[in-house]
Amino acid sequence: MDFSPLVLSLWVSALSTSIIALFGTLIAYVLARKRFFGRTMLDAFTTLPMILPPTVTGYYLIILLGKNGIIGNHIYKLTGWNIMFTWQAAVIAATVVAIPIMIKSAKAAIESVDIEYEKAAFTLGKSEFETFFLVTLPLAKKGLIAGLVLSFARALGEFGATIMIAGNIPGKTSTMSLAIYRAFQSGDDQLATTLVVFLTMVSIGVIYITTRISRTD
Amino acid sequence: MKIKSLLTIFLIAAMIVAPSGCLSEKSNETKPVEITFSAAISLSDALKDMGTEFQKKNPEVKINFNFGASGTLEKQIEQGASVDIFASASQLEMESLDGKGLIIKSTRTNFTRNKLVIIAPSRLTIEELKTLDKIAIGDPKTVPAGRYAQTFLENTGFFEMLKSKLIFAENVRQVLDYVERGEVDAGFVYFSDTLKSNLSVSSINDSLYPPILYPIAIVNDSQQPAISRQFIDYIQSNEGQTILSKYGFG
Repeated sequence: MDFSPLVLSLWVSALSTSIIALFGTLIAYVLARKRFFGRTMLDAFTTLPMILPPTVTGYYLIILLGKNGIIGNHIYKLTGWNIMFTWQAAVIAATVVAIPIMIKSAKAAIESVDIEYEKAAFTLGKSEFETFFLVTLPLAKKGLIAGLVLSFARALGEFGATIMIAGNIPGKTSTMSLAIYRAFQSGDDQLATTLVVFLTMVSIGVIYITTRISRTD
Repeated sequence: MKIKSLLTIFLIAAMIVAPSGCLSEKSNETKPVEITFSAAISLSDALKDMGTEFQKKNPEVKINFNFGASGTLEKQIEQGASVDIFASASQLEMESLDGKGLIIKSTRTNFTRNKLVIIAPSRLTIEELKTLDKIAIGDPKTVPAGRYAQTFLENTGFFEMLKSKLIFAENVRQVLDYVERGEVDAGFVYFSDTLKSNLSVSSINDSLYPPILYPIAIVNDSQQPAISRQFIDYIQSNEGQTILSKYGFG
């Protein structure tokens, strides 16, 4: 059996979850703690990929990152690199589609942290950066981890946007969800079944972990 | 609470409106005889044209087309999709359905042919493919055009060398789309796909891949075999064949 879809999926999901951990938490913190012009817009904009059909998100990504895309054409002119049909494109698709889940979850978690603790840290001379890592982050830990686990699961299952910008190239961009589709279409029911069972088990595991996290107080 | 009651109202409204909508549609005079035609996507423009002409002559008939990669359509029929006519871009898919007893053998016939070409922003030779970065072909597992392209590349001895440059598309029209959008440098498509395109077409030696013959047949559990037969006859008539040649087939 060809394990490349499994390896690729785990790699793509792990990488996008790392990006999400960094930027998702940052955006969530800004949304939860800062008041600025366009905050609601930012909130809506970062929620959009969760609401839009993934194919629509994929379409936007092509317009942005394709060889003739708004950003893509500059990347291509500068480096000669076209992101379409690469595993990096799969990472971008998974990240964009899954990051709203992290932002929602982390924002709620950070908002639930009593702001008095942060103020106390400020008065004790800690910078905002230190306060974030020493006070806010540990107190919001549960929600952040739950958000990450769910984002990882969403990234692992990403299909629509991925097939549009990364294609379905065996061994290169064919992640598990895409490999299931390809195996099913070409009549390789054994491979399809194996991958389906595996993804189902991972999903059950994710649900188990997230409920455990939310229960432990 | 508010959302819940809104949802309830919406659901009730949907339940009232939906069935009455269906009823009013049905009560309009005689209902049309509908047939579903699963066909290789390369045939889409020509078949839609033929469908329009056929429906003009037979206003009681409505043809629903289902276009896709021949392999995908074959699997749909295997899984019990209710389809009346199947036309594929290669014998393999038809053979497989035939072997499983899913088509009416006596209705199987080849009705047109096509050629494989290379499409790219400028004309190129096979040797020049080596200098390119990305080349799109249909996924050989489900797309006949991709299988023909693979055979061609194997026969010319370029397959191993170009393997890492190949981008698999879901159907032959997606190959065309990838090349037109500039996401890949070249692609293997049918000659008939290129007529609407402004890109350059490079012909290739057609003795290096199997002849591209399109088979058609009525699916075994078709509810409308008579009408289906009529439409297949129309496709094979002079008028049908003229339309096909207008779209680059034959």
